[in-house]
Amino acid sequence: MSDPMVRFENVTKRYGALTVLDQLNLDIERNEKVSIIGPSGSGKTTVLRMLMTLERINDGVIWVDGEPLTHMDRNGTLVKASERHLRRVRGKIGMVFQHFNLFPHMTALQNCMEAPVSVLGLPRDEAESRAAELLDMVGLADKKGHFPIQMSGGQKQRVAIARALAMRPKVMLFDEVTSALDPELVGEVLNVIRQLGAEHDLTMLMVTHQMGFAREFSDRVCFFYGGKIAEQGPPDKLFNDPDSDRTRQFLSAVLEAG
Amino acid sequence: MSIWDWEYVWEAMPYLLQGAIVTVQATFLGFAIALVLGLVFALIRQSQNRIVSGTMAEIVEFIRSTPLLLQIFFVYFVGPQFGIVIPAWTAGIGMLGIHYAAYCSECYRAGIENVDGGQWEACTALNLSTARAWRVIILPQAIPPIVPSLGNYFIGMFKDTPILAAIAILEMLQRAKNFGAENYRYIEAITMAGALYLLFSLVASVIVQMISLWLNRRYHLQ
Amino acid sequence: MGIGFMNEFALGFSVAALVKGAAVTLLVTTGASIVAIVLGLVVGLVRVSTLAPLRWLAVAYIEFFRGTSMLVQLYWWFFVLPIFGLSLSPWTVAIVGVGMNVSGYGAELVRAAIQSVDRGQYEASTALNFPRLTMMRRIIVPQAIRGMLPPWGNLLIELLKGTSLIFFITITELTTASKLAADATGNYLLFFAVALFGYYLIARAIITPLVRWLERRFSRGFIREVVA
Repeated sequence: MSDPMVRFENVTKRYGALTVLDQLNLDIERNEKVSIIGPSGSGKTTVLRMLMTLERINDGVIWVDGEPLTHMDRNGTLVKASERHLRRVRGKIGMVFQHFNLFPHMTALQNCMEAPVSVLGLPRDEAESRAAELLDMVGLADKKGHFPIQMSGGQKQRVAIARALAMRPKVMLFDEVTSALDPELVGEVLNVIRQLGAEHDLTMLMVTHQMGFAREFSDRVCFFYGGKIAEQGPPDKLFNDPDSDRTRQFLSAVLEAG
Repeated sequence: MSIWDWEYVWEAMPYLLQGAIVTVQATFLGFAIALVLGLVFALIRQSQNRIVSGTMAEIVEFIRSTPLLLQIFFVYFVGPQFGIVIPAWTAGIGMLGIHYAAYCSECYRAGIENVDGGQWEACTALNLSTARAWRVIILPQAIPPIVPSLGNYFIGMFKDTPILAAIAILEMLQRAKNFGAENYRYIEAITMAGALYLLFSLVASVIVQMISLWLNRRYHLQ
Repeated sequence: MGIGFMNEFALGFSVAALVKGAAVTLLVTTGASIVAIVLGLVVGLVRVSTLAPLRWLAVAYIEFFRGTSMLVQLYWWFFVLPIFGLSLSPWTVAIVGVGMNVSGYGAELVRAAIQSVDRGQYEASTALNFPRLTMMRRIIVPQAIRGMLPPWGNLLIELLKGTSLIFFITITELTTASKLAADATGNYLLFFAVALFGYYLIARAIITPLVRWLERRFSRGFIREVVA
């Protein structure tokens, strides 16, 4: 059996005295689609942010594609990763944020070209045709020259997805990508994610409040509670017949809210 | 001859401290004028009458875009041309105060405009008089947040006091320069004057922070 | 008659001196602005560097130039440096002295603007794997520039006013020229009023519009433009 695409091994994250994640162990297989659900403050977004190296971890090791991300191998022992090592391994991961974080001074096309040109060193024309292709894929071929402020939330989030894909990541992270959107714009973004899952070999990890989508789209759902995985399993099992009371309480509260 | 001679430092020190007293006096007096007059400017700018508020805005703008030195010259020299003699101290401190009043009025304005519009509506709903609303409700909320920026102008004014030398007020830097000229040695006196300015600036900024914290606690603001 | 002629002569002479003074003020303002902008940017960027010793150097620079009076600094350049065998011309002192003083304030503006760029922009840059320098150059600084332009406009007006202090170091700029002209003719009201208006004009008819124009140029993507 090959290595998992992502492995959290005894990962602990603390903010001062507060332990946000406690000895997390989680493997994500190649091409697996995993949804993370749970109440706010359960540490679910922290999982993505640690994997993207936006947060340092206090203990444990994160592995990506068979090699350590947070550490590097030096003569058989793992030492803290250097910036260079971090940058190399991080290149396999892409992320889409809740608040889009598009670069406001660049057009949609420029947003998707900047990193391929200045990080991967692609020639401009190649980066441009790749960016155009991706914008076409997310249904925004006609918005190439638009600045973020000229677009709706749903359009911005689709540009953000194209921008992350332009770096050819193996793992895509989606951090509550529909939470900042007006309800009528959620569908267009979810459709793009659906299409991505169907047409590309991508490992996808998403934190979401869209239970319907998590259920339909994921191979596995993890329910986080209090910095631990309280329950995980195939969506049908977790949503219809959860083992844990906590899961049941959470699901009924979410369903009640509509 | 050594580059730095402590002998000269000790010799210059009493001389400089005499000047420092003048500098500190000028700063405190000038700033008192600036605080009061600045508030007056700011309140006039809030006038409902477009012409009144517009004129005030232009005056503030003009004061802020022209050099203090020239303004002091204007006040000090133009009077005598028409037979009105203004003492140097009055002209200097007065203009220092007016100049910084223009800056302070902008601070006050920012503070006033940052007070939630709902506060005015609540005052109207409670039938408070305008004067009372200003005094009891609006200004106590508007002023504490702007204390740090007012404090910066206080420090700024302190550093502008050497300009008074141009109308023969012997403040600290002028004394340092005179000492340098008399002894043909500038380095100690001017460096010490610089060090005293730096010291005062740092001490003043700590005091301003303390006042700001105290005011915010006093009025239960953030 | 003789007196009238003398007065007219003095007046004409004084007006010419005033115009020359205004030109000197413009020149020194331009030169010092360039010094202030370049040094302010460099020191401001060093101030937010990831290397602590570099940051401390920048803090020391900023505190020194903001903490001591501009006139103290000018005197230092003018009277003290010659002791070390470094005699600067009054012009150099004016441009470098005023410029470096203002650069301390400028560096703080740069730091504040950089630190006020949304955290999400840093996170997106990390997610896209930008090296730090590329991130600063392509993503952060272009956004920070827009935020720092209005305060820079005010700062350059402060700089313009600061050039009047070279009155104390023997260059005949606008303030000095107006004082000389007023002393020569006895008409203080006229010459000081004209000089005051001259500064006002430079500030509001040159510096402010220039900064506004730059703001418009850098606001691309921040203001909803009419889509053709």
